[in-house]
Amino acid sequence: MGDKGAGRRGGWRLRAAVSGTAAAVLLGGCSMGATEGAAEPGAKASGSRAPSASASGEVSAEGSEPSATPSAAPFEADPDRVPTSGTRGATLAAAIVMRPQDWGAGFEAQPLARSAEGTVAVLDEECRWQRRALPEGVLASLSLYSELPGTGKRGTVKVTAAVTVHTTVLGADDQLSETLEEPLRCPEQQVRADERIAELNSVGTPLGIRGNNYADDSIYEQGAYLTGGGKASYRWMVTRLGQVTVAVALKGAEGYTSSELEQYVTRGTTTMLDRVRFELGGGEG
Amino acid sequence: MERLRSSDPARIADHRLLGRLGAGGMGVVYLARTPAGSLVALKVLAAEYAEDPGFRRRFSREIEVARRISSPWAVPLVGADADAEAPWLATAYVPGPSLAESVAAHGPLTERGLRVLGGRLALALGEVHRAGLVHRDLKPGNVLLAADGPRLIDFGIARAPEDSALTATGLVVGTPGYLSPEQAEGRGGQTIGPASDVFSLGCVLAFAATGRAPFGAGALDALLYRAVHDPADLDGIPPALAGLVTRCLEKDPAQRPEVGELVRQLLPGDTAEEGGEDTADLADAPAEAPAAVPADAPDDPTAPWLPEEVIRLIARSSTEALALPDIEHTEISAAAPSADASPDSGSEDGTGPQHSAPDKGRGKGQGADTAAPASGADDTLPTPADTPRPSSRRRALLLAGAGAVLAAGGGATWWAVGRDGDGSGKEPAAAASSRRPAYTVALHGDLSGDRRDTGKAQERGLRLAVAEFNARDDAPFHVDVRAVDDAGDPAAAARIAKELADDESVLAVVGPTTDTTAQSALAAYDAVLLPVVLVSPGAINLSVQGFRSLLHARLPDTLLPFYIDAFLRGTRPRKVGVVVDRAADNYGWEISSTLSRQLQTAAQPYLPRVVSAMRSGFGDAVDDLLAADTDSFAFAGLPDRGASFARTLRERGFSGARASGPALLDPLFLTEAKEAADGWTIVAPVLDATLVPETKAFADAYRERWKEAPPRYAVEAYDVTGMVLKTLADLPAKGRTRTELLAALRAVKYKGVTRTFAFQKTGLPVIDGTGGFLWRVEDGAFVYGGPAPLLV
Repeated sequence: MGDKGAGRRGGWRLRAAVSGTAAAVLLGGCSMGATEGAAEPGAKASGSRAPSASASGEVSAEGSEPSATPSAAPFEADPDRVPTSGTRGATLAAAIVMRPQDWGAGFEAQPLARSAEGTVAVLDEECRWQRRALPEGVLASLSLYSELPGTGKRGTVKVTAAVTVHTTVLGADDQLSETLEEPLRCPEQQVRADERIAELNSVGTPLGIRGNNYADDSIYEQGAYLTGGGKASYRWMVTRLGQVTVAVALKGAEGYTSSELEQYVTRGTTTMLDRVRFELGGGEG
Repeated sequence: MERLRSSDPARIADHRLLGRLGAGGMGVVYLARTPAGSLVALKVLAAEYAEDPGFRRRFSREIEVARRISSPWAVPLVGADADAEAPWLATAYVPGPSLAESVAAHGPLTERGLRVLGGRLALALGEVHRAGLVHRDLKPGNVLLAADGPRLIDFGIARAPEDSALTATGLVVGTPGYLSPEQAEGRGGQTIGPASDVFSLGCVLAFAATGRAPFGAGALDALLYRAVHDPADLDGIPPALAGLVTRCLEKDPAQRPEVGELVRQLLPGDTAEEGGEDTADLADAPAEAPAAVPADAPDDPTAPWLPEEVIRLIARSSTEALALPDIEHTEISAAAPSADASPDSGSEDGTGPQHSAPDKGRGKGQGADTAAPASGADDTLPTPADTPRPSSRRRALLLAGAGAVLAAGGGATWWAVGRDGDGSGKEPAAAASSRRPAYTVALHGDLSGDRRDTGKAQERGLRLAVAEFNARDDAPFHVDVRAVDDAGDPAAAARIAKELADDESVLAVVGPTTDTTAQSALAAYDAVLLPVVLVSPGAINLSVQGFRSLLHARLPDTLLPFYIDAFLRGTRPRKVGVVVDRAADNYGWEISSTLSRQLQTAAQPYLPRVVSAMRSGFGDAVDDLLAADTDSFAFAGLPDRGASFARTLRERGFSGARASGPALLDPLFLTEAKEAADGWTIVAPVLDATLVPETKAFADAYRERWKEAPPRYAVEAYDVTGMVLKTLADLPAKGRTRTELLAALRAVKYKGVTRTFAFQKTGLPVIDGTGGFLWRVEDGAFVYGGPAPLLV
């Protein structure tokens, strides 16, 4: 598809050094798609007009709570605080993105600590990740690369936090659509010269279903990160609040359990989403 | 805090609303100021629920419950009116974050924080239990953090263990991830006792200690399953507390500690607090704290128990609260001298009863409809004409025993439907049946909701198979049919599954009809190992959750794209556009991910395009794909938006290959797309029984019996019912139990009229290349095109 196919959406893409996505649903076997997607009633047997009339609504309705929890309404930014220029967009991205010390004790910047200004990552027609100039509709995009150096039996965990500020909500929504498209188009993706991601699975979870009460939209992906002869686990979570998307990509390492790794993904995501709320003012409490 | 919206009232019962704290399923929670000037969280039942007496009742219960709880660690009720037109309740405002928010943003608590949290929540729970209640929804979101300790909130679903007024057994209530196994399993009644709250408290402590829910995050059913079956993930809990938390998370409620013990263990210097609620006890505690207490013991009132950032956050929120708009001075004189903020009772009470009386009447009518799940099936059953119209309750019984009723009455055509054309022996069959043992096969379906056509088709197919079986001279037993309608409602489906599970005469179930209803029903069937055969649900997720009694008789949606791929590549396309509609959620992914993988493997050029649910049309997607040289399309979505997509293609003058999955085999697609539907090819797991030689006898019998051509999904239900009955008949007389039948069905190889049925360990069908069928839209109608080829 490339530039031509990208058409209206433009060719930009958010992506960090690590990257990847995949399609949720499993063929025969059980994988993350199964558990992540299971509560969602999805389509009825032969089609449904209301796929989002969620079975889980039964439970969430029971749990309504008189507390300062996020409402089910989409994020509404304070119009006065929404950036309209590239400069203000870059300032906003920098205020939101996870810095090395934000990840926890022991984290430090990778040798290449941040993405080049004015660029976004794009999955090209040959399924290789490239950084390209910001397209129209994107005010700013910033990725910071951090790592937790290995000790003893544990290897080095690498995390990337990426924030992209769009001019419109629909533009940010398109970014998530493209994120979901990527694994369908490229089941295996070249991240760097000798690094690939594969075995990708992803699931998209809009606000209000499967327990998503934290973002307007959310995509969670997992797969394998292949380097030389090595294989590590790979996680990617992309979420959206209004016209801002935040993403956490993670390359796992020996000695870590899935839930330990997922904890970092959750921490990075919730922290950045909180910062979006704080900076843009919509539902901040 | 969110601002008020234009739709929000300015005040409710003399409370001035200041902002929105949140909105839940049943209403909105506002920050409000009482007439006396204090800040409260004011929860209002949404108008649509206020009309419903059931919700009103539930809301009043919440008020009753909250009134009965008095603990410094539970948020107190300060005012309420259950009879107001919009019922409301007000609790003291706690300007802190929830535990969920705090841990997510600022990380886990220290051991000292955990002790304060756990000990004081245990004290609050002790009060709840002393009031004879169980909270049932203890989770991080229901714990607010104040500078001096936690506050338990939300008594929305608290109730006494023996009280079943609110929720039927089998319906899971609460929040997954923090539910006890007994809640997750939908065990009802008295099994949900105080120990259930102890389990949830263990989950909350584990979360507070590690930042992770101990049974992971993710889908509802996966969480429920893990709560019942898996060990908790307790990595990272301070060693001093790990043992106690582990005991809280025992699967067996009897093994868990009582709240009193939790208080003693977590707040060792604090035993005075156990019986009372006086926070002053805390101040006394340090002096007598034994040496065994850790240095950061919770009873050192000077040390903060929360991370500093959280304390700062609380301080900030408290400060902001001070800056909120004040009460209007003109109103002060009207305020009651007490801070109780009891509402002005005059006008409210005067109008309340008058309003509620007609509401209740209306509500009862609605209630009766849902309480009579079988009512939608009236027309499918030849009820004797002289029978007085039965009550809904009796009607359900009639339905259940319909086979017997008809046999006794000698219904004219009922027995005349044998596939071999044997129309004789009505009397002998009826007579014989009374001497034989009887078993029941149930049809659990949507017989009156959106998918009633599919559900009723299955009911009729099943009844036909049973009638044929009973008509056999050599039938070793008589079979009764019990047909139950869930109207497509997942809650009803769970309830019905429990009812059928409890009916020991039922040996097998065909149904439910939809993914959603199957999802909520399967656990109940699994619990008693009652074989359940899915005929129409297609979600692969249903088969990967470990349901032991499941037999997924149709090819799941994930596998059908093998045929879509073969069909499309058979048209020799240059490039296939794969359009995925996010509005279809999982179904869209099942279709598109397999299809993309197949196209990729075949080196067929293709281009995926995901369309957001925020996009109302497909114009951009179609234009982009056509511009990229796409000359054929696959659509992974549902019929309503599928019709929109089809119309867009037609508007662009596209007439190449267009294919989709089973969801589009729906009359809605035809009526919405009109002529734009013509030329579409659909792969579905059903055939047209009137056109297949092997199913012709069935089609004739069906027409004879039901005076219409068999609709889709009828012959498939007939076939699996035949499989169940043959398998049951093959068992030795003493072995005709659910368990034996299940084992035999799991190992079955049954050659039916539609295909051969056999099952994998997961309950999925054995993949033998069959099970996909082609349909094509011609002149606004679905036309059957035979078994779908697997090879190009």
